Amino acid sequence: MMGRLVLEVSDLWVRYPRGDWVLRGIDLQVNRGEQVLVIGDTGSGKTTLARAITGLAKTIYECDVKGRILLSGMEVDGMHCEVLSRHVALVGQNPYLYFIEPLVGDDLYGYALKVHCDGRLASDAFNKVVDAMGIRRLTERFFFEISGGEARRALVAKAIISNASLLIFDEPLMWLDDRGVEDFVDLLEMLRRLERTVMIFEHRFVPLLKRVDKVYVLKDGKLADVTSRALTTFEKLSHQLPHGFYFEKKTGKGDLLLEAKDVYFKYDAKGDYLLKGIDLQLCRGDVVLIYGLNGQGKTTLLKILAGYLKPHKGKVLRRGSVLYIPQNIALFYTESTIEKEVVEVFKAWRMKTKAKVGLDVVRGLNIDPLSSPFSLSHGQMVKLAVGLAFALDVDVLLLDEPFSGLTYDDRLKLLELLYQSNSAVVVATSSLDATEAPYWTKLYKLEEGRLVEMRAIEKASLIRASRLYRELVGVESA
Amino acid sequence: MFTYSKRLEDYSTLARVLVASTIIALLMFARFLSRDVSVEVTKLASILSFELYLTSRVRERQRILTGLKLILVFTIIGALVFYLSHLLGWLAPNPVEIVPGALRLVAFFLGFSLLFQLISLREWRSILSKLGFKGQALAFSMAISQIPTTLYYLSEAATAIKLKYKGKRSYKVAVPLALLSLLTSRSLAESYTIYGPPATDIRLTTHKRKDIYLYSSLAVLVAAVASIDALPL
Repeated sequence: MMGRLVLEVSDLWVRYPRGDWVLRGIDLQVNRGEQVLVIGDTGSGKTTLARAITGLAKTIYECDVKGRILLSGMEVDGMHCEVLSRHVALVGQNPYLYFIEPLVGDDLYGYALKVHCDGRLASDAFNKVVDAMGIRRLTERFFFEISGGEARRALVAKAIISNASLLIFDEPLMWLDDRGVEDFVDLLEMLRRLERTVMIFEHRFVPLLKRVDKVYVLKDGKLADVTSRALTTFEKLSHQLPHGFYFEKKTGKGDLLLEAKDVYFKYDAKGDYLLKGIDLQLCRGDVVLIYGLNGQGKTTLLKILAGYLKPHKGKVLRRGSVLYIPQNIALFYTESTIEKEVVEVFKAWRMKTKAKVGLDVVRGLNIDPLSSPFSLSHGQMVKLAVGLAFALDVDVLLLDEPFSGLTYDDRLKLLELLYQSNSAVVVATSSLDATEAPYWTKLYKLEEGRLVEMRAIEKASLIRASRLYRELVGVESA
Repeated sequence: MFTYSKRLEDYSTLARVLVASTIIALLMFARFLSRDVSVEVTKLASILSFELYLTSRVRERQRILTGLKLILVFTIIGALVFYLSHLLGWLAPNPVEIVPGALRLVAFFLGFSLLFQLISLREWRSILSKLGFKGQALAFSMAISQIPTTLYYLSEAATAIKLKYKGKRSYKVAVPLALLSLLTSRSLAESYTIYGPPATDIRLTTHKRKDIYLYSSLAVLVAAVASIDALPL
């Protein structure tokens, strides 16, 4: 299966303008048909490595790049982007950014035409990838109307049109629900059959661990091969910890803060109800998880609980303050510095004199109050938002997919933080990863518009994944 | 409302471009060259009817109802502005102007939406490239393609910021959106560098057999709007 080198990286050093070296002497060889997984802590340089291999580090980010990168024996440095695109294709974190034509089919065909410069060849290539990827039904749909998993599949189709020798996936599982993850694993099998060389940079690596040929850890700017250690540790932990166990159910500790009674909601007046007869009670101290696949209405439900959307039928009674932390956490922040952020938010909550408490929270998270909130990593942004919410004594905290983009270790730490709070917390997630953790007071599943209580954990293990992560990456996240 | 519909592909590109741009021109004409409000309202009503007719050809009935709802919404907003101004002692707009104002807004909105419903982005890119604006055409396409996701982010940010600032300072929603746009533009640049602009083999057609129907109905509209000035309104 293997043989010819597709990628050869030697002594690669990369740093951003005015920054310190992010990559410090990377050596890597990837053979044709190999599937390689790179894991690492937030900010360890995974995306930077992907950018260096695709030539983007220099062209877009004006990075200082030292060392050598060869793609199919050709030097990346100085390669024209048209030529480079024949050797390497990137499937980025947000697949929706890679479509220009509104219709998926038009976009793919347009790219095929660009690559092949001939209508007939382009049609052939288009039909071939569309059938190979099983996305015929998506071609007549607008890219912004399809799910994240579908968009990624369509983007992979685009990426393989050019016959690129190397496919790079940057956090492909981010924002995917459990079904999307299964789809991606199937996709990897398909790419293996097509003998495509694949590199994956991912936080949520457990579902991929047994599917790839090699596993690397990126730490302190260096890459280490941990393939055999990853598999043996995974097996060892599988035996040490049960695959799934019942959570220790704790009831709410305090007074009723929010109650949804028989809530119905739909966006389209003539359409079907997205939410049907939702009943939910939140007491102080509750840490509630709402699990559901993408498109089941989790975000809509949170917005109804928050009071942003009004239910068509039923009612929501709020007996305290509510804060909503969106999935795209950057949308939560509005100020140029974190200090200003704290002062402004405490002022709005008429707690100006207590802003010091908020600043202490910031320092407690090892974050410089004078830095910009937008310069923080995704994980830090989530933790800061949660920290501020607790400093404000928010009664009900609603978090939409807070785990996306976090390492397993960070997910567990965030959960521990939520569990210790005195608020009622609702977390909406599309992944069962977190359900096993024994920190939930109630677990619900949102399916076909109904909210049903989950009585047992179905699969996955955040604790095991977190231990595996610590063993491999060897870091205690901040 | 701003996405292309293939239902009018039986008509040539030229006919569709002419119809969409003539509607905008007529709206300008109605706005600036009407002798009084009643004449402008009559013209706007004629143009709006034609716009709704075209929309009905390319969209489901639901979308047309959305267009009609818009008229109602803007009229209500206009009325609210009037009464608030009156209550606060400000110089209130003439209530007679509220209706044409609402009609004008909706007619322009629908007129501009037709530019994108009748003509595809690929056609726009091709037309602009032929006019020597290739780079601008691509930037325009990329910007347009991100509108739906930006609208989604707007709703997310609005929910978060409304609660964060206890219903005050809603204007701050612009900050994360602006920043997100900056980050998005960088990611778009990445995507553009790797995949480049999609090529197009689209043929810009100048005439098709069915064009005559479109030109006839447009001629009726132009004649109607032009003759309204002569009516004793």
